[in-house]
Amino acid sequence: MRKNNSKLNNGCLNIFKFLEYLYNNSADYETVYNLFKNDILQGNEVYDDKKLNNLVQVVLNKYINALRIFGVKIKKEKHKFILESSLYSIPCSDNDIKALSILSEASSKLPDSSINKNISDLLSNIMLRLDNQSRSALNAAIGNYDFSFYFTNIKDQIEQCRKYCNDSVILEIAYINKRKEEKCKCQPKDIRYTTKTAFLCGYDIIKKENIEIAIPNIISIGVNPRRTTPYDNVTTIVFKLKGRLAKTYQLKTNEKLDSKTEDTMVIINTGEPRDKLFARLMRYADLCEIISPKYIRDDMEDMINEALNNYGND
Amino acid sequence: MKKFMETNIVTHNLMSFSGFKSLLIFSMLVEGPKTYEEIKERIENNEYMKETISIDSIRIYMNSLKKIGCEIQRTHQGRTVKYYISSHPYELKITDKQAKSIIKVFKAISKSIELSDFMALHDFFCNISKYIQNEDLKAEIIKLSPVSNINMEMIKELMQYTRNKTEITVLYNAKNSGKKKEITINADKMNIRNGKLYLCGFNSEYNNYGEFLVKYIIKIIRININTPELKIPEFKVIYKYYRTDNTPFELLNSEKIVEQNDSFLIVEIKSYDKFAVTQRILSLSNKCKVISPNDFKDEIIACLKRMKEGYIEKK
Repeated sequence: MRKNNSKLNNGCLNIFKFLEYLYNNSADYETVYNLFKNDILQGNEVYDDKKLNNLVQVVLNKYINALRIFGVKIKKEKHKFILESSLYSIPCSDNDIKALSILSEASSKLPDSSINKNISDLLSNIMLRLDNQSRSALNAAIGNYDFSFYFTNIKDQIEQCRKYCNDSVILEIAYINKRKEEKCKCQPKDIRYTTKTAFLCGYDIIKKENIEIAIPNIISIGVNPRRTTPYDNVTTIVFKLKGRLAKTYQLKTNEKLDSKTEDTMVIINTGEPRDKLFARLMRYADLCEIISPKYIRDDMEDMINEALNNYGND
Repeated sequence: MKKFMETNIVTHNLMSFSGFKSLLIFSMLVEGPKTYEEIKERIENNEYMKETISIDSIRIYMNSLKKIGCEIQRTHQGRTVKYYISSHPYELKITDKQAKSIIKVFKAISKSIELSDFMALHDFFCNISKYIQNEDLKAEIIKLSPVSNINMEMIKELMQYTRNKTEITVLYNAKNSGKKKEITINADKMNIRNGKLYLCGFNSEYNNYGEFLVKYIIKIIRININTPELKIPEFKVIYKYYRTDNTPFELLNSEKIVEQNDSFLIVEIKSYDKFAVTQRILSLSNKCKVISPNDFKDEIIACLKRMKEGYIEKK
């Protein structure tokens, strides 16, 4: 075998280029054949096609044998070489196996094919790099968790909403809220999953705020095919915390501190969906008060009044 | 290959020796720092090679490994120079899409898995973080689990005490007062709420049941083995939940539905922790009404009135 130059070894370059194709799952027969053919043709000798073909085959087999004798398993499937075991293995603890089986099982039950594919690809890439013992342990562990209760009855709606998120369209959504039908015009962004259901997260372009609509509450969706540029002009809500909460509160990732005294803390919250924020601030009881904007402060006051009205003359 | 299977003898006709040597040198340098002499010795003693190699040739192989993308580092041990591969192109790479999918799946299941599962996932996240290229996603994944930044050994110890309902005294960093103080707790259970890990139990000093953020527990000072078993009073509340839309109601572990129809649910919640029950009721806000006990219902009404006053005063 010829050398590229005095400082490089062609055999080394070839075997690792071959490995690169194998790791990237792109080692189709033609690509690999060309790799070794080009190497042979770098010499001055001239071969007829048959001789060249035989020579490439011989050289290729020598490299495959080198990998096999070293312990790397390769199989040939549909005109492609497939890597079955890695050149090296990564450490894998019992906790790693447990975590991988949880992620694998849970993602397979989420009705989102892209999440499923991403986790499945990751699992294959990790599996490839495990030693035999860890690989068997992981294969045995997958299936130990049951997340089958997830979203089976709204699977199709979730998949449809996910497509809308990818398409960057404007949606006109009719949905149920407080026993009434409401409408909104929004740019869908993402799907959020909780234990019991999934939410379509988006930006309400009329109210200029982020919203989350539980997918089972959606009555109908009209699609405006106009592609949109992302909106980022979300509502900022300022609230005040008092007493012990002001001393112990930890800012969330979407929050900034406006001001702080010994007993108060004023916080600027940006982009948190209102229903979620209201439920959180209600938990803080009288140690929290929304300052601005006024219409959101009024909404919070209405919510407190409605909660009180539930008790009537009690 | 058939001959090799029978005799275990490798010839130049059977395999690429330069390819095989490259694989040997690569694996040795991935394994850890090696001197040229150590590499030479391992190659010369390899059962399939049994041929000499010069140090100059080893240098050429190492240059070739650099060419294919291996990062080869030098390390000095006294006057000895050793080489190792710190990174290579065949390492596991976790793409942004894969990292984001991990985060999504984790958030979807985080309310339905157990503490030991969180611990396993956290361990896994720490181990794989080095394969994530995007620094923001790397940071997010490491902090994802409620057990991040908490001493795992202490969590295991606390889990043991909650199983046996043991009374323990801990040094606690009380953020409220800004002081470190000793708290004695009859450890009842570990609880994850809003992405935070709590130790729940009866505090004999204040004679109440409470939740203590585990991340603020500095250390366990004493284990009070001979403490008589405490009969902690359980707090039971019945409330009505108004169904105003099609969102499935998320029942807590401490809750059960005692009656339901199309417009409402009657839910019973049992807990030792009155504060947690109050928070649950308030978070359900206008969708909920406490039915019993009356004194608790009055407390909720009084709390809502105080909240209302806060808004009226400013008008």
